Formats: sequence, C-alpha cells, structure tokens
Amino acid sequence: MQKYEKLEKIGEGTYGTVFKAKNRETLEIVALKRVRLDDDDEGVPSSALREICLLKELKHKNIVRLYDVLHSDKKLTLVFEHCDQDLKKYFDSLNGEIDMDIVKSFMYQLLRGLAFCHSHNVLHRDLKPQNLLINKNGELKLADFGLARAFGIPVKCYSAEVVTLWYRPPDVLFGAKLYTTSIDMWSAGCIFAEMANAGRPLFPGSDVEDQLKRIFKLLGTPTEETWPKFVHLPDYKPFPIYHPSMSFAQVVPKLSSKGRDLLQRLLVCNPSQRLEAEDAMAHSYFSDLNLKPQQ
Amino acid sequence: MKAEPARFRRRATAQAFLSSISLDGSLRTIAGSAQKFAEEVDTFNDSLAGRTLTTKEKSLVENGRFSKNVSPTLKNNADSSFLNSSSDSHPNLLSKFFDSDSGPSNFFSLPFRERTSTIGSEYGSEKHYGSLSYRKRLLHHQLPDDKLQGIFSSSESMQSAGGSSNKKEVTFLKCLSKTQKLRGQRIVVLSQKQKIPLSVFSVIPYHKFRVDPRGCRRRNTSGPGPRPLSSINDTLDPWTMLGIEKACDGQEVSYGQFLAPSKVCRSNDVESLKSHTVVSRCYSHDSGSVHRSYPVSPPISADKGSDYTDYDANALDDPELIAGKHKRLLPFSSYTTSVILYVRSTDLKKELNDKFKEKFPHIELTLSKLRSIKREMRKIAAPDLLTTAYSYVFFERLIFKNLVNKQNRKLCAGASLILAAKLNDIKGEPLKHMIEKTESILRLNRRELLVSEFAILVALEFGLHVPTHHVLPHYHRLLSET
Repeated sequence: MQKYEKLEKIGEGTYGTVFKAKNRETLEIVALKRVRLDDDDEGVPSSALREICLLKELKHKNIVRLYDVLHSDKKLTLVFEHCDQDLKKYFDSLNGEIDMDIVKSFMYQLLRGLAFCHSHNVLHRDLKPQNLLINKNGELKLADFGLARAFGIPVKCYSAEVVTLWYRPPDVLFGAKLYTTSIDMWSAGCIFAEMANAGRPLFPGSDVEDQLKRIFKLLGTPTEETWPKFVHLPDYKPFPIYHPSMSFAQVVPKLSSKGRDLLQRLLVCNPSQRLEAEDAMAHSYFSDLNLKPQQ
Repeated sequence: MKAEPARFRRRATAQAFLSSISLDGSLRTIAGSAQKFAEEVDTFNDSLAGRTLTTKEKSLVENGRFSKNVSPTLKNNADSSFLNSSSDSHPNLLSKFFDSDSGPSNFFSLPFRERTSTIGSEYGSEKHYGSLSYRKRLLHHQLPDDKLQGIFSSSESMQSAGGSSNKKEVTFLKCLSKTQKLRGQRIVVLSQKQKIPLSVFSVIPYHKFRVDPRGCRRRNTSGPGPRPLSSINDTLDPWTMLGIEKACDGQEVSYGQFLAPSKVCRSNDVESLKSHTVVSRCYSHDSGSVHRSYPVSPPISADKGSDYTDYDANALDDPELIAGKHKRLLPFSSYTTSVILYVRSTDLKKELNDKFKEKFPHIELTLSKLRSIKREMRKIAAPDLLTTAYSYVFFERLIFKNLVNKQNRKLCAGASLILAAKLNDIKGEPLKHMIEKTESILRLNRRELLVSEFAILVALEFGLHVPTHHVLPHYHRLLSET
C-alpha cells in the first residue's frame, strides 16, 4: 500500500508533476513532486538533485521543508511540506488591495529565509511570487530550489540563464557568470515592489533588452562611476542614458518612506552596492514589525 | 644467583623437548621455542620454579600458559595424560586458538582460515603465506573429517601446535579503550574470577562485497588491449554493490533518514553572517579573476556536523606522499634544503603504495590507482576545475566509507563526476558531452553509470552541499598543477 494518497494535481513544477496528497498514517497533507528517471537520458534531473541536496541542509521556518525522498524503479518522489497557496495566487485573490502590514510581514519572512540560505552558502536564483508559498497562518516559505546552487568558491562558470526574466538583476541580464547573494536581493526587491502594488509586477519585460530598458528607465542607466567595469560584462550592450523620470513615491505609492528607502537599497544596478538580506532585516522599515497581522 | 637456576631450567626444558622429538622430524622447530615457553611460564607458574622439569611436566609447561588463565585447579591437575583427554578441554582449545593466528605450524589454522577467508580473502592470504611451507608436512597427518575432533585426540598435533616458531604473544586486556586496535586478532573472553573462557572470536577488518563471484572473471579481462565495454560492469548492480536498500517491483523506498542536515547550525549565525557580508560587498562580480580575495571561508565552513564534516581533503591523497624515503632533508644553520635522490619509479610507486596501505589498511585502492583515477576524472571535467574538485570530494568520501572496490571504482568515480557537474551548472549539451566523455575515458556503460548515479547519491546520504573547506584544498591543488 502506498504511504500517500493522492488528492489532486497542484501543478507542473520545473521537472515534474506536483500533487497534493495525504499521509495515510498521520493524515498529514503533503505536496508530492514526481520526477521521472529515464536511464538513457541524463540520469537524475539536476533540479531534483539540487532540491534534495540543498533542502537537506536548509531547515528553517521560512523555507519549505523536504520531508522525504521516495525512490522506485523509474521515478523519484519528493515529499514536501504543503502550503495552501503561493504568493502569485494570493495576489490574484486580492482585487488590487493589500494590507501594508502583511507586505511588511511577508517581506521580513522572505528576507529571513533568504538570509538563512545565504548563510548556508546557497543562492536561490529563482525567486518570484510563484515560488513563495503562503500558509493559513500567514507564514511565507521559500520553495522550488531547482535552480539553487552553492556559492563560496568564486569561479566564472555560474550559469547566466537563471532567474525568471522579470526578477533577473541587470548584471545577470548582461551575462555575468559570477555573482553572489546579490542575485537574490534584486529579486527580493522586485517582489517587495510587487507586493506593495498588490501584485502588479515592477519590471514586466518581454525580452532581455526590454527588461534592461525598463530597469534603466526607472533607476537611470548605470555609468562607469556608479558601476565600474560593467561594460566588460559578457553580453553588454550600450543603452541610451535614461534619467529617472518617476520617483519611487510614484512607483510604490502605498509604501511608507522607510519602505521606499529599503526598496531603493535593494534595487541597485551595481550588485556590490545591493543590500544584503541580513542588513535588510535590520532596516528601520521593520522596526514596528508585526509578523502576524490580521488578514 | 637468580640467573643460574633459570638457565638450568631452560636447558632442562630444551633437553626434554629434544628427547621427545619424533622421528619424522616434525618437531624440530620446537627446540628453540621451548626456551621461550619456559620463560613465559616461570613468570607466573611459581609451582614450577626452581625445579628441574621432567618430560612429563613439560607438557604441563605447555599448557601452563593457559592454565594460568583458566583456573588454578586445572593447573594443578595438569599432567601429560591431560593432553589425551579430548573432552572438557577449554585450555587446549584456547591454546589452539591463540596459536593459530600466527602459528604457521598449526593444524587448526588450516580449517580455521579456510572458514574465515570467505570474508576477508585478501586479509587471509596475507597471513597464509607463512603456513604454506608447513602445509605439505602437515598433510600426512591426515585430517579427519571432523577436524576439531581429530586435533584434540592427537597428542602429536598438540605438541606441534605448541612448537610454533613465531608465536604470537598473548596480551591480556583488562578493559578495552576505544583506541585499542583489535583488527586481525583473536579475542578470548574469560570470566572475571575463574578465568574460564566464555567466548572466542576473531576480529577481521570489515569489507563489504568482498566476495564477488564475478570478481575473478573480471580480473582476467584486465589484460592489455582494449576491452569490450560490455564486459565491464555489465551485470553489476550498483545498489547491492554499495549496500543500499534498493527499490524493486514498483516498491518505493524511503530515504528520508538521510535528509537530516549534515551540519549543526551555530548559535552565532547572525554574527558570522555579518562578517561575511562585509567582505562580500567589497567586490563586484563582473571582472572575475580567480585569484581575487573572495570570501573563501564563509560561515558554513565552521559549522560542525554529524557524518562527513570531518572530511579532510588532504588525508587520503596526501600531497606529502610524493618522494617517500628517498627525500633527504638537509637542515643547515641558515637554510634547509631537501635532496630527492634518483629512484626507479616502480620502487617509488611501491613504497608510496605501501605507506598508503599502512595508513589505510581497509581501503582496497592503492594510492597510485587513486591518483590515476583522479587524473582521469580531471581529464573528463577539464577545464572545469571546480567540478573536478567537487567530484574528488565525493569520490574520496565514498572511499572513506569503504564503498569503493576494484569492481566499482570507475563507476563511483564517474557518478561522482556527473553529480558534481550537475551541481555546478553544467547542463544541456555540455552535460551530454561530459557523460559521453565519462563513458569513453572511464570505459563505462552509460546505463550503468546513470543507474548508479542515484545509488551513489544515496550512498553519500544526499550530502553534496559540502563546506567550502572540503573542496578548496582540491581546487587549489588543481590550480597549482595547471
């Protein structure tokens, strides 16, 4: 008899189908990720490999828990903690209104989970609302570590094909093959703005060039002064000099001035100037933090 | 004078021994060791001290070693007839047992070894060579079917047992500490008060999958010339090979037990993170030279963990193990220099391998083989030294776990490479290319390689996210070698 009873299909992950299931013994609800193992292909998909090996080390309340790995002849099943919805679905249910206390709480939890990853030498590399899970208690958890990787030994061989376009930082858009925790901090900034606008994406670019144009139009085109040597990046293309025409007060009107300050420190083109997760958590925006606001 | 009676006694013992030698000459070696016996005996057998030993009592001496351990009553009752009483004879059994380990002339060693050698064939053969010369001679004793019975009913064999020329010393251990090495020894457990043997066992180094019925066949194929791929690892099951529970018949096997984090999170995580971020913000990642000062020892490296965190990258493939004894150090007052003498490469190889074997007696690989496999791994992953370094960590950890043997070493090396590559952003065409390179350079079957990949992942307990300081020494060595 199978240990888990499949209840419904939740969706298609990066490498397989995700089901909601119930543990027959404990009645606990879990999420099952089914991964096919084809012998003549490439073996264990690297995304599954990353999730297993990295989530093994990342036990934290703001990171989705991997409970078990089941293996049978032709498939691999990863058993995850189940959350009710992801941030994307949550946005859809909002009708354009969001409580700023919830934004603050979610942002803090996002940073806390991220700080834990970074302190354990893990880059998530695919932060986006779909990969942030939310449960009924208002807890936010980082999920989908299929693109995550270890950092620590800096070698110029990291993949530049990471992070969903809208949340990809300018250095990676320019083809940087060496990056660090700053890659996730940019995504966190984008998500922060999106939350503050109740689900309207900040930079919904259509391709790499459009993405960079949108970024530079808001933040100004970087110069040799603000970002030394950025013209040497592998995929560098010159862009017209844009001067910011919109203030952050216009971009995220509902966000407090402290929140805007935090956002501006995260959305910095020069990766070395971007705020780190731990520093972001210490920002004064969070001084009146309430982790469990009324939803 | 204390020395006088002792010498006399020894001579008497020797004479006694000589006079009892049978005509077939099988006891010639006994003469020398008789002296040793007497020495051993008079340290504890006070009742015999100062007396001339008669032929009759000599046998008592032989058993005296054990009567001391067994019981005082036994000691007193001992006489020559004792030898023939095959029943109720722990001391004899004991003597046989102790002797058999290094006593080539021992009967008992033959059947005993034959029984144990199924587990540690290599180990057994090491010890065996000494007994070969004796075997011939012993054959004419015609061992009966029930060998034990045969041995104990024959006084002749008993004497030959006692006459071992290179007798193993009997050590008495009061209490065992963790550091005590009992590998390859016979242990007799005696009761505390009466010294009656309760249990007897051997400690043999543990080797998984030592017995491989296909092993012989495979060895035969290792001759010169290209081997057909199908002959290598064709029927090898990576799961059984690694001693891991395998999923079969649609059954799902849970490996949840390996999901416990390998590192214990430190309480001052926040502090370490701060110091880390300060460093990491001083560099931009666009202009990358590997020699820049990056945060190479991030917080994780200091974490303590459960299973493999004590891995030392330089332990197995010791970078110092290159010159062997042929290096001469010349410490002058102002400087120190070393001269490496010319040495035939085969001699050096043998010496280094011997040193390695001495350091890691349980590892089946020789140092030269390990290094040659690592060279091949590097060739496959080239020019990606980081992937190579990670694969070394995985492969060496498998070796430390005693999972690598002659049959599966290339499979383990290949799977370690593929796992390392996947975690280092190698995907799509480059990954396919690398799998093909692994197949051809390590002469592996693709299916075998990919099937064993998950098995190796389980064998490594999913612990592929290793601390930087496990990888960095390999990486630096690889860098300096280019």
